[in-house]
Amino acid sequence: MFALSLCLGSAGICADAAKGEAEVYVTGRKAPAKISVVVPDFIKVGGFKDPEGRDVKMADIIAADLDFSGFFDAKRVKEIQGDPTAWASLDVQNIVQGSYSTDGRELQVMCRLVDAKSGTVIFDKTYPNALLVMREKVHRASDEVIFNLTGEKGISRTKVAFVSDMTGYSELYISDYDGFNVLRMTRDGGVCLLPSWSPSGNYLTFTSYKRLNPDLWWISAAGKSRGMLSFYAGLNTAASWSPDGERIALTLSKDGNAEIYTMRRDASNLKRLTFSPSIDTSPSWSPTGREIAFNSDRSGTPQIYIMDSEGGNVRRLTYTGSYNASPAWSPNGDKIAYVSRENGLFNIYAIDVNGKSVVRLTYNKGHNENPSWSPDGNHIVFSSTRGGGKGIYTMDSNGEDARKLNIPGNSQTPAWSPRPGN
Amino acid sequence: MKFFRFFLLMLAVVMFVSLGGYGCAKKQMKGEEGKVEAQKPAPGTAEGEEGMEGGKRDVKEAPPGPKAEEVEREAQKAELALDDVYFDFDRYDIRPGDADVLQRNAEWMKKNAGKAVTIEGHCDERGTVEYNLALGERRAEAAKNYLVSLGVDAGLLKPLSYGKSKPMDTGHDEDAWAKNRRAHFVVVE
Repeated sequence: MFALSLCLGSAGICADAAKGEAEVYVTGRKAPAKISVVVPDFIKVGGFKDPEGRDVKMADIIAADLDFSGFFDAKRVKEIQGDPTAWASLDVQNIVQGSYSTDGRELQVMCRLVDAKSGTVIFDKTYPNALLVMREKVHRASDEVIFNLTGEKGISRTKVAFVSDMTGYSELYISDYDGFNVLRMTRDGGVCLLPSWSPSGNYLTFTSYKRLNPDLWWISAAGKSRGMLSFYAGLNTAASWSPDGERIALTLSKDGNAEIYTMRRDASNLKRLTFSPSIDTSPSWSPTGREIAFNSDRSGTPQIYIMDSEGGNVRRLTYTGSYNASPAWSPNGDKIAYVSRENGLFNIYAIDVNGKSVVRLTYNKGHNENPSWSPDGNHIVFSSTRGGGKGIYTMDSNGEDARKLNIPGNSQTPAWSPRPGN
Repeated sequence: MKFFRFFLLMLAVVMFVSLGGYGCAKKQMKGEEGKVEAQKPAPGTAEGEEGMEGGKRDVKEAPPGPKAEEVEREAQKAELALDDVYFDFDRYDIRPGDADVLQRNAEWMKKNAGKAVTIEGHCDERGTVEYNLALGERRAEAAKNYLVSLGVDAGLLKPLSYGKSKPMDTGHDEDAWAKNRRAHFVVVE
C-alpha cells in the first residue's frame, strides 16, 4: 500500500489527497484523459478563530471526491497566489476555490469553480447551515463541480449500507460512500444480512434473525422507524426493490424450498415467480423493471439466469464455471456483475446481458463477494477478504482502483445507495 | 319471605350476568391482540419498532437485555443429548455415519416425547451468503426428513438456516470447513 501524493509541477507543493487507506491497482490499461483541477485549502472568511483545521479538511474532501469519480486529476495545494490564469500554463484547466465563514454557532460553506484559462467563474455557490453536516455540504460542492465539468450527476452524497460484527453481533450500518459517518441502524443482537435500498433512498430492507427466524424487515434511512415486511417460516431473504419502488423481489422458502417471489411494497399481492425444486435466490431487477436476474441451481450447479418480472421467459446467462451467483444488474442496463467460484475462491465478473462478453474484475485476492453498483454505473462496492478478515471495498467498473472503506470489524453484503433526492 | 327470595334470585342473576359479561369481554380483547399485521413502509408513519436517533455514532454500546443466542445456548446446555450431523461440500444428503447419529437423536426425541427441537442448518464459507442460506435450509430439512422417517413427529422439528453466518470454526482450511457444514439440534425450552 502507498499513500497517493499529488505534487504540483515546478511549484513543488505536495499534499496527501487520499484520506484513509487507498490501495491502487495498476493494470497497465491506458486511462481516458482526465480533467485537471487544482484544489487549494478553503479560505476562512471573517475573524472568528477556527482551530479545527476545516480549511484543509474541506479541500481534502473535494479533492478525494473528484479523484474518486475517475474524471479528474485533482491536485491539492495550500493556496492560489496571484493571477489564477497563470495555472493554465501548467496544464491546469480549472480551479476549485472553497471558502467558509463561522461564528462558532453556525458554519457557511462557499465554493467557486473557475476556468483557469479565461478566469471565468463557472459557478459560485453558498451552502449555509453546515455546522452539523459539513461533509454532506462539501460533497454537494463536489457534485456541482462534477456536473459543471462533465455533465454527469456525481455520487459524492451517496451511502453504502452493510452489515458488520464490530459489536460482536452482525448489525446493519450505513456510511458515506467514502467510509465516513458510520451510522448504526440495528441493535438486534443476532444476525443481520443483505440490506437493499429503495429507489428513493428513504428506506432499506434487510434480513434479521431478531425473532430467531430470517425475517425481512424495513427500516427508514435515518433509522428512526422500522417494521416487518415478510416473516413466513423459513427464509425471507435476498430482497431487491424494483426500479419504480413499487415492488420488492425476495426469496421465500415457505412453499417447500427457496423460490423467488415479488410483492407490493406494503407486502400485499405476493406473486410466485419460480416453480422448481432447485434453489432460486438473489433476485436483481433490470433498470427497466421488466426483467429480473437471479441465481438458480436448476442445471445442477448455481448459475445466473434472467426471467421477465412475471417469471416467464427464463433463460440461462452464465455457462463458464461451475458456480456463478449473486447477480447485480448495472444501472445502465447493459451488464450484470456477479461472483464466480474457482478453486474455492470467489471473484467478481461482469457479463453483457446478452451473455456474449465476460470481463473479470478481481484477481484471486481472497474471497470477493456481493457486488453492488454505484448509481452512475461507474463503480462497484463489494466485500473482500484480501486484507485478512472481511472488508468493504470499492473499485471502478473495470476492476481498477480498489479502495478499502475504513470500517472496524468484519463487514459484508454491501449495498450502494441511490443518489439522495434533494 | 317471597320478596326476599325474589331479591336473592335477582342478585344471583345480576352477579351471574356481570361475571359472565366480564369473561366474554376479556376473551374478545385477547382475540384482537392476537392479530399480527404487516407494517406498511409508508412515509411519515411512525409505527414499528423502537427507533434509534439518527446521526448518533454509538457503535460501541451493546444492546440491553439477554442476547437472543444466549437464551438459546442456555437451553442447549441443559440438554446436550442431540449430536450434530455433517455434510459433504456443496451437498445436503445424509451420509451413513450421520444416519447413525440421527438414529440416536430420534431415539432421544421419542424418549422425551413432546420436546420441540430447532434444527439449524449451516454451511462453510465457500458459497455466497444468499445461496448458503438456502443450502443450510436444505441440510436442516434433510435432517428433519430423516428423523420423521424414523417416527419423530414432524410438528416438533423446526428447520432454521443460518447459511454461513455462524460458523463453528472460523478457520480457512478443510478442517474448519468440514466442521461448519452441519445440522445442529437445539431443544426448545
